[in-house]
Amino acid sequence: MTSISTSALSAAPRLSVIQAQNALSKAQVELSSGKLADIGLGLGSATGTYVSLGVQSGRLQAVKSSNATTAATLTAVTTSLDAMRATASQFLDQLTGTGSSASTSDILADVAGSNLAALTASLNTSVGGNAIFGGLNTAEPPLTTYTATSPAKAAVDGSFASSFPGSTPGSASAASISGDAMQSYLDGAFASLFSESNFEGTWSSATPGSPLPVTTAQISPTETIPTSVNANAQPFRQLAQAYAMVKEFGHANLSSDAGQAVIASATKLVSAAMAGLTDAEAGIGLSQSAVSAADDRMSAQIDYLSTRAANLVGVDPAGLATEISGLQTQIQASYEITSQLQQLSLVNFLK
Amino acid sequence: MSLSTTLNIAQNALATNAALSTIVSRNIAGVNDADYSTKTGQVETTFDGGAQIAVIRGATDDALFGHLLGARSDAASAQALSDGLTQIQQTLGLATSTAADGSAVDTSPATLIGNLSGALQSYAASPANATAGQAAVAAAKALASNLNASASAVQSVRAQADKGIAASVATVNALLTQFGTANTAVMNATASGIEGSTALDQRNAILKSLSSQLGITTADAGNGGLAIYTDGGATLFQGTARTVAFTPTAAFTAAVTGGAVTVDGVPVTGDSATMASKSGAIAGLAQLRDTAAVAYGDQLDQIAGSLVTAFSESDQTGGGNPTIAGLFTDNGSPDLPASVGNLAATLTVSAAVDPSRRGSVTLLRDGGINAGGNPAYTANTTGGASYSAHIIATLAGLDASRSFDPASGGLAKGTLADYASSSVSWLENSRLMASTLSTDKAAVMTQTTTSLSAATGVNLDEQLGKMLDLEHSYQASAELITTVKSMLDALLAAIN
Repeated sequence: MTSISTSALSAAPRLSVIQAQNALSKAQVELSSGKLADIGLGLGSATGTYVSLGVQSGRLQAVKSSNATTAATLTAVTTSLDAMRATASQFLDQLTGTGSSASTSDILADVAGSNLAALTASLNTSVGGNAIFGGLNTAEPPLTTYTATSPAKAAVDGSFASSFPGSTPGSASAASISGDAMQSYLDGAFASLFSESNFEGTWSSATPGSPLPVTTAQISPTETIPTSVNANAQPFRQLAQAYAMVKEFGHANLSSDAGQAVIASATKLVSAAMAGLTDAEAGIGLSQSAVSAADDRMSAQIDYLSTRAANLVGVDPAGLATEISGLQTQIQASYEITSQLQQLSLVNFLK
Repeated sequence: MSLSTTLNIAQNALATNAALSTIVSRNIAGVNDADYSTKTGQVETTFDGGAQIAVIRGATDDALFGHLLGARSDAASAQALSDGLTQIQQTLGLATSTAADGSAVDTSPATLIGNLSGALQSYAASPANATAGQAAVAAAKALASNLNASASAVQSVRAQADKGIAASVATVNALLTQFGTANTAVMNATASGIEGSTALDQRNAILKSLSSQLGITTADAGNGGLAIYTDGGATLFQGTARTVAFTPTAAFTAAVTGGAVTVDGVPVTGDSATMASKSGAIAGLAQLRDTAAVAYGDQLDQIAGSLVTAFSESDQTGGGNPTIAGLFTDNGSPDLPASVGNLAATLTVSAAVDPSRRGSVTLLRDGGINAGGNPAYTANTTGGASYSAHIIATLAGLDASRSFDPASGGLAKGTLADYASSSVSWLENSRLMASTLSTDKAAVMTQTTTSLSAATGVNLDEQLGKMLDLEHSYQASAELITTVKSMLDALLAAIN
């Protein structure tokens, strides 16, 4: 350039100050937040990646929180199953402890009655308003209490009456029932009361189906596990059958053969039920460990995603501090030049 | 040669000095005027040896000036596009802060879709929990209203651009009229030989303002006049000013296309323009209104369409009932929309499932949201409170891979969450490119302005220096006159 105008001369430091001030304010925002001042301008087409990292992280967080609820449900199921198994085990001891005499007694019948009530209470366990053994029908407790007026009792009475007309379980005429007759009744008409379809009609309102539907939970984006056991499952039916059997037919008024038939059937049922309960508990245990493993995996994933996202938008504070001090120096220099240029005018010398 | 000749020459010199001083004072007055070019008086020798001002020229640099016009147009169009895209991207709500657990807190459709997935996830884990269901419906409503708001922001940016074009066109027409006057003045000055540099400065100032509105090129039209053409080739001024016409549009939706700007009857904006303008505010605003904003609006519509499809409900019994809309509807209608055009603006959560409009949240769990009681659409046939299969199937549908139209930017095939993220990427990338272009062009414009000013602007010290020279030569001429006067006095004294 061979010429320069006065306005061009004074414009240069002015523009430099404006640019430096813009850069300075942006750098200060970045320094205080530790992240890019304008994420879109800083990342450009990688902004979608950044957003989807946050989305994935949030999704995993949601799964983790729902896993807490799932874990609580699983714990409640395990506790109930444990209680049922313990009661059954005690009852089994009492059944076998009657010895070779194997006689029924009123005490045994009462114990069976209270065990049946405990079974009902356990199967009606509710967590957060949900009846956990109700299959999908968790709005109401599945088992109706076995009382003198419940349909279950009516069914039992009805089947006894039709098999042994004219007598009731507690009457003196029941003493004439032979062991074989009692055995065939217990294996036949009485057992059919506790088939899945009959049980669902009279004893339980848990969701029927084949296979029995249970609540499931998605514990990670790829895994779904069952979180409970349906009250219509075989171990529960076997326990109900055994307890009802001993409660109704376990009184002392039966003949010794019939009494032995009752005790033998009940023992078989309770043993089978305990094996079934152990299996169910094992299944729930598997679910519990799956939940905790999924939680651990997801925590690691969430950490990784957060770190990646932070790296994308993070800024280097040391570099920023250097940049800020450089900009401040530049602004200072522009100010000095501006004031010196003002003095460098021929006007000041033409006196 | 005689003393009277000397006297004449000295008197001429005084007059010339006075005129040159006037030029210096005009220059000093124009120090801070960006449109003022330094005037120089060209002194020539007269027939008798004296000096007079032949012509007053202004400093010019045509190459730099042409360059400046281009730079101003480019800066204006880049700025218009960048500002519009910045406004649209504010609907994304990308903040510098993030939540403590690392989840996203922005309001982009991508994040809100993720929130909806999370809420549905929680609902699937405890389907009997009405609060979880309400949270899922609330997340759906947040997503729908965000899409509505984003679509509305896109259309309002288009409407603003349309208004901007209307204002620009009015400015262009006014400037062309002024140009006609200034051009005539320059041609008259050239023809009659009087000083035309002031008229030239005025004409150049008008050209600079015009270049911000529309990219222009100039051509010599003879006799010192100029003709103006747009950078696409349409005629703006040739002898007389041509009309630049534009019909504004009152309201914009995704289906509405804005009007084109016509220069002398030739359209210079829009897809059908053969002589499209490439720079200037009008071109930038037209690109924003017709291309960039429309593309993003289409991406939003595709997201809305995929939401309606993902949540649509089909006949659970295998009968012939048609698939109907589920959680997300086109303005409440149970029918699936025929096309996705403008769907982002009309997307609403079905009232049948919205508790705030007396709907029932359990329909989300059971199915048959818009079935009007028709049991064919109900998935939860047993009515169990913890039935989670339908919600899990809905979640799977949301996470399924589907096809999209890639013409507007964004993925061609992927999950809805992926497409929404790619839409964010597209928008921010476009904005980054426009912003970088705008910064670069602004820098070029500043540089060119400074260079032009350096070449043609006034240097105060130079003028003051000339002032000193003129002062001395004036003194010298005045001294000469005094000397000649004393010589003549001596002669007359000798005669008397």
